[in-house]
Amino acid sequence: MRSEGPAQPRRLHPAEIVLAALENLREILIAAVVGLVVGGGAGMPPLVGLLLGLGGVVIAAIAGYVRWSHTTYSVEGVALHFRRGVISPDETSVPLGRIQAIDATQGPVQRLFGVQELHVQTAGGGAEGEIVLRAVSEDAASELRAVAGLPDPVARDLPEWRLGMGALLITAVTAPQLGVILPLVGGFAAAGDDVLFGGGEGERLVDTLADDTGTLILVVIGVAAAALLLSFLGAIVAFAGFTLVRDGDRLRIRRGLLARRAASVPLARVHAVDVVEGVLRRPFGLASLRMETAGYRSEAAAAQTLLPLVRVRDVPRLLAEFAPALAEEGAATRRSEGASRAATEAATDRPAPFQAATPDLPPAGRDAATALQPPPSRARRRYALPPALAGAALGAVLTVVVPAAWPAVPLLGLLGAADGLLRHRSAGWRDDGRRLIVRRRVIARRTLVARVDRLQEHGLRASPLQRRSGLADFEAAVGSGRTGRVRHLEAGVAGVLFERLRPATAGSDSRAATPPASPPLRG
Amino acid sequence: MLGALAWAVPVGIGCVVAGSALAGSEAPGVLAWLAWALALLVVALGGLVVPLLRWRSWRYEVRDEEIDLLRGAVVVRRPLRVHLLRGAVVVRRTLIPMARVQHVDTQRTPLSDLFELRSVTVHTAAGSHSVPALRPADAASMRDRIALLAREPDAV
Repeated sequence: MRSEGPAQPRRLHPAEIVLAALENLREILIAAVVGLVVGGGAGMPPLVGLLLGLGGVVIAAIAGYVRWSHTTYSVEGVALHFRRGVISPDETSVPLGRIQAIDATQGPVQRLFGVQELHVQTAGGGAEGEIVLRAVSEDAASELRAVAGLPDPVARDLPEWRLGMGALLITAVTAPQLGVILPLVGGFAAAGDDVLFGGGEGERLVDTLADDTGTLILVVIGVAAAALLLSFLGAIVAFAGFTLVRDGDRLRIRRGLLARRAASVPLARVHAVDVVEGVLRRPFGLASLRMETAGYRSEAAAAQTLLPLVRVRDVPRLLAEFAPALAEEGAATRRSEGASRAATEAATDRPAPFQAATPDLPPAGRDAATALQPPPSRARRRYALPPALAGAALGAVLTVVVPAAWPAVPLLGLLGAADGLLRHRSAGWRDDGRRLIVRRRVIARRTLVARVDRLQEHGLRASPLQRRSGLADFEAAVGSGRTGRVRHLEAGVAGVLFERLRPATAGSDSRAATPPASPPLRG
Repeated sequence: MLGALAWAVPVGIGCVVAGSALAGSEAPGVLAWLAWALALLVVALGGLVVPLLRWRSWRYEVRDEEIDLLRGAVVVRRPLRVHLLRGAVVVRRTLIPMARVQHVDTQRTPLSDLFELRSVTVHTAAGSHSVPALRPADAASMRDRIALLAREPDAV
């Protein structure tokens, strides 16, 4: 293998022409369809339309050729240069030393031509590469890797996780559909509003629709079914062929049915992992893992998926394999488990105002290593009351609108209370010195496992009511902007946790030696 | 004086509430008077009492390793223990490690210029926090101090 790179500017593989032409076609497709529809309406003969379409393809192909001929890359000196554009060329240069990885991926077109799409990854770049070479032959790819001093990705035994066919189907069936359905239902409600109260076209619709309640219900069911199907297909398209590979200190994720997407994330940027147990997944002990990464906030939700479907009991093993900084660490964990219990006990002897409250100690059970510390049982009321009141209020509003709906008041109230109690049962936290684990249930149960040394901020919060009963909320934010929160902890316990996570104390074992801070200033 | 900026917003809200309360009350006599009284109460509470309490309870401290923000709290510290005792509305305490600060800036608005005030905003990867209504000199020195202390970041 040569160690000197392509000093002369080099073109991409001719497959790039096809790729660029397809991209051009996609861009003009909408205009073409609109043109055809309008033209067809105006009585244009189909032959003219066909000719226009062919012309579009030819133009796209020529434009693709021009783009290919003006796209070059070269290695001059110590940098990789990438130049593209016809009229005003853009040039991107990346110093060879800054290249952290060159990831290869293949879309359908690349597979057809037996070429690779290369993503040149740097520390500052997003999940997509700093430079993307869409069509590079195998030889050129390994030549480029050699120049950058990177090993070839072949013939190495890396930890890998694949989403099988059956698991893909389960993922799609249990995908969180609420997010897709709610806007649709909202849109439908708005449309219904137009139909019922709007004028003109709408009133004719009222004549045909609103008289017939059966039709209306059918339409609603139809919309819901379409939303479910969309969500199902969306999940299939997004997660088909999902593969996660850990290559040293980088994670590589490939996924997607129509467009193969590749992402490469340095492990150092994964500040936390969110274990999301959706409503449909939790009964089966299934969950999805999201990664909370710094600087990737603008990426699509699917791009933040670390593992789309796993068994909850496999999570510790998978974390150890793919995100060791977030995994359990035998000895360290056991030691700080004791420390955390001591902290809780220390918080028990509190001064007079809080004497009435005794914090719940974690259940000293067999799996104390994975047990989270729950909020105190006396906080149950705080968890249950607000949703119960909200439910009752909703019932009251319904009753005002439809008087016959009065049973909704106690029913929704009870449902709210039950939901609150379930939230209380789910909530919990643990701090083992390296990781902060915070669990909360809103609809899905979400357990945030965060690196303590990467927390962006943390805080306490207490309303007047909470203060009266000596409770406080604890929250901590990770680099992705996600905030983990446990509500209604003993104020003393929350305070101890707050102190332990301070930069002066976090990570050091002698936590008792915290110097008391000077009194705060007046703003 | 320093809290003046913080007052303005609740006063505005109070006025809006009062206005809508008045517009909504077509009933004469007692009801209208009640609406007036309620509006006055809202303005007084929202415009004077709450902001005053809020201002009285705002604390911030910039230490070498962390920024400590306190809203609505009087804090009694003992070794290893923080007690949130009382305060105006909701008590919040936020701690930002200095190593996480990405940048810091001061802000002024036409309204804050009126009172010669600045606010300081600290940005991290997770979001930002503002300390409102500071004297310009205090704001500038706080910004420069944080910028200096945050200069040596560790890995994001």
